[in-house]
Amino acid sequence: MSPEPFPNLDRVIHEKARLAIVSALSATPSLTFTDLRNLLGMTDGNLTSHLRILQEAGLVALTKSAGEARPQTTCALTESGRTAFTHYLGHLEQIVSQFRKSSSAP
Amino acid sequence: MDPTTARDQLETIRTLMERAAIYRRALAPVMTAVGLIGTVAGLLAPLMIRDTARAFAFYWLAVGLLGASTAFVLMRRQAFAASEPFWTPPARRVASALLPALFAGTAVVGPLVNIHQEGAMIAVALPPLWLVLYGCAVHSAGFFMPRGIRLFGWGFVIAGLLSALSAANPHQIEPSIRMAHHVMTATFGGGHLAYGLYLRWTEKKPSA
Repeated sequence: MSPEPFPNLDRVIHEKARLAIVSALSATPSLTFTDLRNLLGMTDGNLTSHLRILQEAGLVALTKSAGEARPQTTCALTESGRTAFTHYLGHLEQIVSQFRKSSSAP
Repeated sequence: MDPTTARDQLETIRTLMERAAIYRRALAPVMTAVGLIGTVAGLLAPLMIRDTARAFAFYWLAVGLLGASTAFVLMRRQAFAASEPFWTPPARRVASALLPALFAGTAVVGPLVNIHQEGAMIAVALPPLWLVLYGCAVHSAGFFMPRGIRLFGWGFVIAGLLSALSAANPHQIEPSIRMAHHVMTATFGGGHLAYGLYLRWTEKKPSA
């Protein structure tokens, strides 16, 4: 199946590493940078660059806390990030269900 | 995108979401309450029970049950106050990680106490065993909870090993049930209380 019937697949989310970030953040209100890095097994630099792209797209919000002993960056999906992720999942499910329908048709 | 890739993507997303969903109830009140129960029980123990291994074992099992019930009620209340379900997938994972070692710690009591009901040695052997098993249980559960809890589990494992070494030391003073109560009070009481107070200062507001 070609990608043409699904032009709305969000290209920012679709990239493998960013999809992993968004998936992880969708399951929880927020994660610290360290927890996210450990969960996904990414390097600091790699995670930072992908988070920046997601932040610029308005999908992820980064909060730096200064009040604790060590400054900590907390990552969370924004409302539009959650909406975009939900739409993305919808598209994936649509692709799978269309295939099921076409393969079960006589 | 072809359907196989889409299905694989969905599978990967589900796995990541499951791994990211960690148990986030505030632990400070739970740890403080459990620590208080342990400390008070430790202080009352010499006044309340006979100096036998059987009394020691069942007294502390009852205290453990009281602590676990209190923790359950406090976490349930947190979920209720947040208008959220209590028995969430992360809660299930935490419970199933805790269960094997806690079950072993409980099940081992009967056979051990039956070996020698009056002997102080059994009572002295139980705290290290319980500490190590409890530490393992907490450490396992820590994979589904904020990171600090795993260190707390390690603390119990190390305390258990140290207390075993201390009990096995031939130059040690005569082992007594009173000493075993002290170990229980300091670790299960004091340890939880100290961690609870630490969390009170450092823990963020709970969310989901």
